[in-house]
Order: sequence, then C-alpha cells, then structure tokens
Amino acid sequence: MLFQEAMILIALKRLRGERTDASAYHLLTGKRSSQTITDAKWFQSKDLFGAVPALDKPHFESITASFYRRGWLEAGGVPGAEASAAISPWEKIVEEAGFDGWTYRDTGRQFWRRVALLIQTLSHLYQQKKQFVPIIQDVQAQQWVKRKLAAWGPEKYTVMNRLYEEMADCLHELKEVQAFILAYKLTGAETLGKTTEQIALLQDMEKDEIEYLFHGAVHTLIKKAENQPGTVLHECLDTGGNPQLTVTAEKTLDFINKGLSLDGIARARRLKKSTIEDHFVEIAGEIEEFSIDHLVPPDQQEAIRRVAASLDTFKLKALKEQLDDDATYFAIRLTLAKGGKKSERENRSAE
Amino acid sequence: MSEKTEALNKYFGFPSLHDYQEPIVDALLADTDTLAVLPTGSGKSICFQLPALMKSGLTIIVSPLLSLMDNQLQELRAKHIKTAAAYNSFMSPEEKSRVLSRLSSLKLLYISPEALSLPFIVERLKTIQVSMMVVDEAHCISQWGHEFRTDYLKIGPVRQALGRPCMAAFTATATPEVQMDIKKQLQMDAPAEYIHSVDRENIALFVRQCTGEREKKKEMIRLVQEAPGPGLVYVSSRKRCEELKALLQKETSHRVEAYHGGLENETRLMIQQQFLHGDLDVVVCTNSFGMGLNKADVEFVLHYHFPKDAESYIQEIGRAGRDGRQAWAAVLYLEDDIIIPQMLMEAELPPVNELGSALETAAGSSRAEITEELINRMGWTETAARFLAYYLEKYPEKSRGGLLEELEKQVQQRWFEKQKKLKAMIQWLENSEACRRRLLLQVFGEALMKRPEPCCDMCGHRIPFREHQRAEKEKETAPWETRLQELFFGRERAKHE
Repeated sequence: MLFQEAMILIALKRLRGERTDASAYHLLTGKRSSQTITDAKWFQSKDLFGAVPALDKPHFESITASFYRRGWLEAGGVPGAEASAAISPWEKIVEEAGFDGWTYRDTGRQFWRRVALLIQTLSHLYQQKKQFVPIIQDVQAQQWVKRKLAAWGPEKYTVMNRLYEEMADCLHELKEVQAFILAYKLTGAETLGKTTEQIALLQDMEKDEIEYLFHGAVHTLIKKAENQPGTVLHECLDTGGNPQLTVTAEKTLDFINKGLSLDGIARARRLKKSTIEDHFVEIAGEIEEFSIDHLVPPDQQEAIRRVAASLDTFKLKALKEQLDDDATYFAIRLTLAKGGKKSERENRSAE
Repeated sequence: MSEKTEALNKYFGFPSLHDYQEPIVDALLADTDTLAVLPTGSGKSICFQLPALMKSGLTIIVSPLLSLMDNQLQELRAKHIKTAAAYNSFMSPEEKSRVLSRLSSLKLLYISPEALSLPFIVERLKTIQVSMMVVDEAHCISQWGHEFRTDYLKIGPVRQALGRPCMAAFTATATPEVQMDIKKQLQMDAPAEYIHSVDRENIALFVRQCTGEREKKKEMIRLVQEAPGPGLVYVSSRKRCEELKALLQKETSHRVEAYHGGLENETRLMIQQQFLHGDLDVVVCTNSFGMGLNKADVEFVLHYHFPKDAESYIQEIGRAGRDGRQAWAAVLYLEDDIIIPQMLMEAELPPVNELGSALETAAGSSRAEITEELINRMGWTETAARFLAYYLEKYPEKSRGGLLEELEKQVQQRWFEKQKKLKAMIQWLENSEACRRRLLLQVFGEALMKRPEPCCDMCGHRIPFREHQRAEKEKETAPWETRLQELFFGRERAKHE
C-alpha cells in the first residue's frame, strides 16, 4: 500500500463515517476552511492535517473508488476489517512521527528556514568560507539570521557549539530515519543538502512519506524548543500572532473586537450569515479567551456536552435530535469547538 | 596600483582583468556607448559590474530572465556587494517597495524590461542619478534575433527620458543584422564595438543521426556512460526530463538529476548547487537551466532534442569547457523531432485566426488585463500575448481593420523569420559533407580562421571523452551523527572525532 492510500484510509477511519469522503480529502490536503480546521480538532486528527498536501482531487477519488470496489471501504466511508488490519502499521508511523500540521504548518516552515539558514551560515563562518549561496532564499529568514548574527557578535561560535549540541540531542530522541532526514536536508560549508527525492532514494522509501516524516521531525523540534527557553532553537521560534485563524476569520474577529454582533458583521462584510457563523466556530475553538456564553447559555452548553459524551459522536444531526429544539446547529458547533480542547486535554493526561 | 585594479581587488578579489575585458571596462568608465558580443562564460558581467561599482550614481541592468538576475545577484551577495538589488514582477509588494526606497544608495539595479517600462518606475528613476544603462542579452531587442521581446523596444525611449546616460549592450549571440538593430533601437551613437568570434575552439562538435527513439536513448546512455562528466543533457519538456533522468540513473553509474521549471524553488536551487559543487555528474534539463550558471569544468552538452535555431544552440553548448579544457557537444538528431521546435515557435506567436476575437477581448482594457485575458481565456502563451499587447499600444489610433492587417503582417513576418532560422538549424544538422564548425560560423557571418583539433565529426574526429578519474564517489549513507558534525565543523574535524 502506498503512503497516500494509507493516509486516506486512516483519515476516513478517524472521521467514523460522520463526514463526507471529501472532508477526508480536505483534511489531508490541509484546507484552510473553518470546517476542515474544526474537523481536525474534533476528530483529533491534527496529525493528518496537511499530511499529503500535494494530493489532487481526481486522484483521491480514484483511490477511494477502488477501495469501495475492493470492499476495503464499506458504505458510509468507513474502512472494513481487512483495511483496518492493513493500515495498523501505518497508524503507528503516524502516531510516532510527531506531525502536527494543524498547529505547526506555517510556523514549522518558518522555523525550519531559520534553523537551516543559521546552520549554513554559522558553518561557513566557522570554516572561514565567506562566500556562499544561501540555500534559503526567503528574505525574511535571511534578515532574521542577519539580525541574530549581529546580536551575537563574537559569541556566535559559542552559539554554534550550543546549537550543535541541541541538534544532536534532539536528533537522538527522534526515530533513526527522521534524524537521517534532518541531517541530510541541511547544508553546511562542505556538505550540500539533499532533496526529498534523493533522501527517499537513499532510504528506499516513498517521497510522500519522507516529506511527512520530515515535517513531523520539524514539529517535534519545535515542541521541544517551546519548552526550553534559553536554547538557541528556542530563539528560532516565532513569537506572537494568532497564526491559527484563517485570514477571513481574523477579519471577523476584528469586527467582534469592535463590538459588532454576528448579524452586524455579516452586513458589514457583505457575507452570508452562515459564513460568519463558521468564523465564530473557528474563533471559539482557537481563542481560549473568547467566551461563547453570550451566544449559548451555559446550561445549554452543559446539555450539549453531556449528550455528545453519551452518544460518543460528533454527528450534528444525531446530537440535534437528542436535544431540545432551541439548541441550534450553531450552538452545538460552538459548544463542541470550545469543548474539543477540553476533552483533548483529558485524553492527553490519560495517556 | 591603478584605481581599476584596486577596485577589482576589493570587490571581486581578482588580481587583473582579461585582455578582452580591459578595453570594455575602460570604455564604460569613460562613458562611451558600447556594444559587446562576447561568448557565454567569458566573464562578461564583470565588464559592467566593475565600472558600475566605481562610478557615482546608479547603473540599471535590463535582464530578460529572472534566473539570470537571481544568479548574478547571488554571486554579488556572495562577494559581499550589498549595493545591488533586483526589481521584477515576481517580487512581493513589500520587497518591491523596499528596493525602491533604497534606490539612491544602490549601485546596481537589475530590472526586467517589463518593469522598466512602467511609468511610475521611470518617474522614480528620474529623481536619482542614473550613470549607466546596461542591456544584457541585447539580442532580445531585435526582431531578427532569436528571442524577440517587445518590451525591449521601450529601453531606447526610457534612456531618452533619463537624460541619455551611457548605454552598454551585451550579448553572446548576434548575427551582423542583429548587431545593427541593437545599435539603432538603443539609440547608440558611434559606439565602441567589441565583437568576438562565437567560435569556441575547445568545444568539439558532433551530430548523431538516429532513426528512432530507442536508438536515441541507447546512444544517449552510451555517450553519457563513457563520459566522466560533468555534463548537461538538454531535452524539450519537463516530462521527458524526468523520464530520461530515471533512465540514466538506472543505466549509468553516474549521479544524475533533473532540472526544470516544474520543480519547487528549493529543490531547483539545491540541484543547481549540487551540480556546481560536483555532487552530481549529469543534469538532464530544459533550457531554463544554466542561464548564467557559472560552472567552469563542464565536459559536455548533449542535446537529446535540438533547439530552434543556431543562436540558441551556440548559447547552450557555450556552457561546456569554460575552463578552457577540451570539451564536446553532441546532438542526437531524429528527423521527427522537428515537430518540437515547430510547435514551440507556433505557440510564441498569436494564432492568426484568433486575432479578430483577440482584438474584441482587448478593446478598452489595460495592457496588463489584455495579457492576462489572452493567456487565461484564449490559452495563448505569454510571449504571444505580449506580442499583441505591444502592437496595440504602438498603434493606438489605428482602425480595427488597419490594426488587424498590421498584426497579420507582423505575425507572418515573424513566422517567416523563425522558419528561416529553423531551416538553417536543420540544414546544419543534416549536413553530411562540410566542416560543422565552418557552417555554424557562417550563420553568424564569420569565417573559420583556424581549425582546432579535434574539430567535428565531419572533419573525421572522434568525441574527445575525458579520462575517468576513479575517485571514490561520496558515500551517501554516512550515519546522521557523522553528517551532523560535518555540517557544522567540516569533514576534517568530523573525521577526528
């Protein structure tokens, strides 16, 4: 089975038939829509969000169609017993990869650019080679490195040694193949980096999987760096901002902060009310300080959570049927968006 | 030490200029208009970079290709020359405004011809001192040239608007009629001319007649395997690029990669660097590779598909043997391949039967909108769309009928020129009697003065493969711990620990 195929099955398994197949596609390609972002959270699939970014829709559809034909997917889009057995080694890979596209897709890219360029630059300076072509062309990363070097001054070689130790430590904690990928992706004064395809060839693995493992390794590095202030890797992190919101939800948030109501925002932005509702759901899930109490009375929230827990489902229709008529779909979605975080926390501590 | 030598030393770390570079630098320092036809890889950029750095004020360098700009900028940055920047449509608005805000502190500004013709850019340039204008790949200005770019025709008027600064035109390939055209369009008065032969004596020339795709592939594998490299294999499309790369990886012992416009930026840069540093032996590429790439030790350039004219051919094989060592170029010629340059040429011109509806679409729109419409809605190539947009702008008051007539005439004319050039290329490929070098030079109005040895297959010479150096190829699979040490501290220290 190919990496893509395994990922599709895992995504469909996670969605439990409560979403359309297309939702799995959007999840795997990391679509920046409120619905997909919320799905990733509800179904605890942040590790699949953007896992196969280059997958195209026709290809996705032909793969699922063949799974249906072979009976690997049952009606309703849930993997059957045979498929479930086949994907279990892949589930282990996902579990161990440390990938979290939901949280780190953008910050991860930037973090890696900084680390890669910093290592290339320091290694050239250390080996007294002054001329080189930066392997990272991103202007922001280049300026960041420039600023850092100026700030460190003569201390930069100490910084380099520390960075080396930190990298060595981090790579030791990774899986062997992930350590290999990171070490071979990087460029130094004498050693040029490899492309993903070249690494895939060396490891005799698929390019897509190498790509996933690579990002997983970067995300693991970030998670570690976040908890270790004072390290060089911690300095490579970006601080500030609400990177998780879609641009359009960000705008809606601006309006909320100005004191506009949901209807008022829809009018001001000339968007459908349902679109603004999507944004509210996204914001509720993202911003902890955003209270939904004025939108959903606390006792209704309580009821929704209770029913969701007892039915063990996120299927909105099933929930709605069990609740009073005044619990709207919007209220349910808002509550689940807020609650998702809570249940996830519980899961984590139970591990 | 002269001021010139001092500057050369300071900026580039070279002790002296080549004999042919010296007079060009002198001419430009003396503000003399200059036309230079120099073979590729002969260090032409330093001829204008050095005077630009020495003069007060800004030098504008018009460059047709993003990759060319990038390469030169990278080289300058690597030399810690920070007073250079680029301006083109691929940059973000922030990057653009950053460049414009520091115009007065810049010495070199690389700019695309499209950007240079924007009125607000010209206005900005008027507020600072422009001491020199350089046109790189100047053959693009001539409709007799092999890559006519309508935007190049606006450089002359911009020069006028900026108070006629000194003008320098550089190209590697220009037939005598193209040279005339360059001087005229750029309004150069009695320029100093430095015309070098297009002949590269150390590149031996070969053509292999093939009867089918299978034979071509076999021949390619044989030649590539026998040559130690480094080498380039030119093909016409991204798809074929990948296909032949896979074939060569499988069938030869070389380290082979593909390079084409479909790859991610980072991957492209990586492959270019790997080739430059000797981590790769062969790159299978489309003609987007190698523009401005300075690798001195390339052994061969193999054309799996031949280019559309002799000028492109000269330019592409010019990437071999820049260090002066013996090198070779070979074309695998299959008669059926003629369809490839034909289609390419067709796509570069507006389809005559669509001109009418294109004019309808264009009515009342701005230039940028027109080009976009034509590309997206009518499926034209960018070159074809630009062609139309240019003539619309040139004849604003012509009636629709008159315009249509003019356009048809222009398209026919261009088509005719292109066909003529392609025919010359085919004739050269199919030639089975005369010296290939002599024939190639003829296209550029040159006579062969001295026949090198080896010269070409027609002169009875064989491909001068270089000796294989049985140096151990890099062990790719060092454990990551070693690799990480190497990255930071270099191989030596990594070895000791």
